[in-house]
Amino acid sequence: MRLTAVVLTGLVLAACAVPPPPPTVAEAPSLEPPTAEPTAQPAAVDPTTPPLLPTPTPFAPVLSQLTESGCCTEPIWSPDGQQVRFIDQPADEPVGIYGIDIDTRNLELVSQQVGVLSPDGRILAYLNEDDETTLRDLETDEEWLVPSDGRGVLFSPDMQRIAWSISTISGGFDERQTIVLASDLRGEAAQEIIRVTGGGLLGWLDGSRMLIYGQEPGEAERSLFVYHIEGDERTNLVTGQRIRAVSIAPGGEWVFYAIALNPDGDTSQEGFWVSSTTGGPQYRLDIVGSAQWRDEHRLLVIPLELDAPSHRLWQFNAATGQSSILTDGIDTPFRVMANNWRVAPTGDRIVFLNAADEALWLLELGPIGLEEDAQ
Amino acid sequence: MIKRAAAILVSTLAILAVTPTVLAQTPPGDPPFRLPFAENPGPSTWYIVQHYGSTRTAYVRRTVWYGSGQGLHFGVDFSARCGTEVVAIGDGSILKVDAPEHGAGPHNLLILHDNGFVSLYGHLRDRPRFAPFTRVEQGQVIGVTGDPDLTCSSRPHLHLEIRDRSLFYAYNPVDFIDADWDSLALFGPSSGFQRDLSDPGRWQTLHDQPAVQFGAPLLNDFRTPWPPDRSGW
Repeated sequence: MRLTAVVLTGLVLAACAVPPPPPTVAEAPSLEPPTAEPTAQPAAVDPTTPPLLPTPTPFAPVLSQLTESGCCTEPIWSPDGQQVRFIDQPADEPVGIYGIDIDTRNLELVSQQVGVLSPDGRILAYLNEDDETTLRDLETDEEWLVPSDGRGVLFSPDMQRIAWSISTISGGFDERQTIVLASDLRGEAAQEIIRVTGGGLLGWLDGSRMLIYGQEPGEAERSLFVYHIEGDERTNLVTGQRIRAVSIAPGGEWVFYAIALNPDGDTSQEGFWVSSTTGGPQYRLDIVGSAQWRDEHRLLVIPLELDAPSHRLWQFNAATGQSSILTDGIDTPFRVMANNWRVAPTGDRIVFLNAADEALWLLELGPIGLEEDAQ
Repeated sequence: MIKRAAAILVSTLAILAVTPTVLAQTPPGDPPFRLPFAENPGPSTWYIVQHYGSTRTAYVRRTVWYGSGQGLHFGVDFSARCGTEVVAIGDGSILKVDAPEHGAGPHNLLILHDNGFVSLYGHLRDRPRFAPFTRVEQGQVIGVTGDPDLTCSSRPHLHLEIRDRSLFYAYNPVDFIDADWDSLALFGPSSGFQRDLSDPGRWQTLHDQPAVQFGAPLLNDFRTPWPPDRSGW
């Protein structure tokens, strides 16, 4: 594969990033900002929340093309944020997970075995030819089997444990039962953690806390809750609502989730929420779109604004309740194809599949916090 | 009973009367149809829960739910509360009401559009009150959403297909419906498209998806799939 190493600037770059015609002020999406109102419990947003205007920042976001068109989809980042990785088969090369350096644009084969990489990038989980879940240490090439019976595993952030789920596959989705199990990284000391109906394990918050959705035996409603596996305790975040699009912040102190389409027709709680996992505040966000965490408490959202000429990025800081518009759709026009975007672990840029040319592009956001300092 | 049999006969004759030639996969010019809901998407209205094509969900259920459609998801699924009004995506005439041979129960409806394509609305909660050949206009309410599991709490959604007049082929609605699909995907499915590692770039975007020929062999029975055909990957 011939990779394009092009860094464009200004309007030339902008014109490459979005389909013609170029955006004009008249076509621009509304600059009325989304707002966030802290609440002690999930509750309606205060409609009197003062509007937030876009704030000029000392750093102008920069777009740059990373790969050629049609190269690849579903990018992920290396743990140090230096490489963008994807499944690919460059010309005359084997299929595998490849990584492209964001500075040099050099492409390297990370692993010919396709699988799921651990948070630190060192362990690869894959299904071997005998349908057994296998972990491989990419530094030593040591391999070992884990007892998940061919199911995928989730690594704890501290790399001490793995977890997997066994679910029934018949009946309504809200009635299916799931058993969550965990073991150490070697697959030893495996034990059942919890059983829930209508949900399952959403992820690890840290080395000893899981985020789970569902209802335990004897419960009447499903909940989103934190489960402390060492103390067999749980902390409810929200009960009786239909949850989707859950995302855990690095460090596990905050979670994002959407409440959508409650079967009973109660719309009062539906929308986007950010909740502390440690008893802190819950925020309702007056916005809908695609959300990912930038760091331990800053959430990035691409708002769903139908037919706007450009997508844009909005940020919410759960630690302060402060929100910011990072790109306004005019000076930094871009359009993400089919929700293909990922925030770098360093938080200073995103990679996205550009809808205009089906190439991967970078959007540099600058140092974290700069936009908040400018407000 | 006689009226129903007559309606089925007339409907069948109408289908047989068309030229057997398969229509082009995409219509000429701009997409002719609109989205099947009057309201904008959102957490209290509707959102896309499965795209058309070689989706991961379809791969997992390629021999069960989607076996008749070459293993692919041969429509778009819009999650919506039971009872949400569904509108016609274009002008046309009612072709069939409650046609179990096309699946997507408990109730479905087919509209033959003036451009020769057919739209199918599946998993409707109630039997639509239309007779075959009734004219409908784009934006007209033609039914309400239901749940294939008949509970309204499991997975209520609308399954929308675009077919040719023979009903043997289904096409990617992205090419036929005038909508901001990339923005709709922002609050859309949580999983993407299934990969065949022998050709890892094939069928990986909203637009790059094959047409489906009903009754033909599976297109996605991959020997080297990613993710694997096991849960949790």
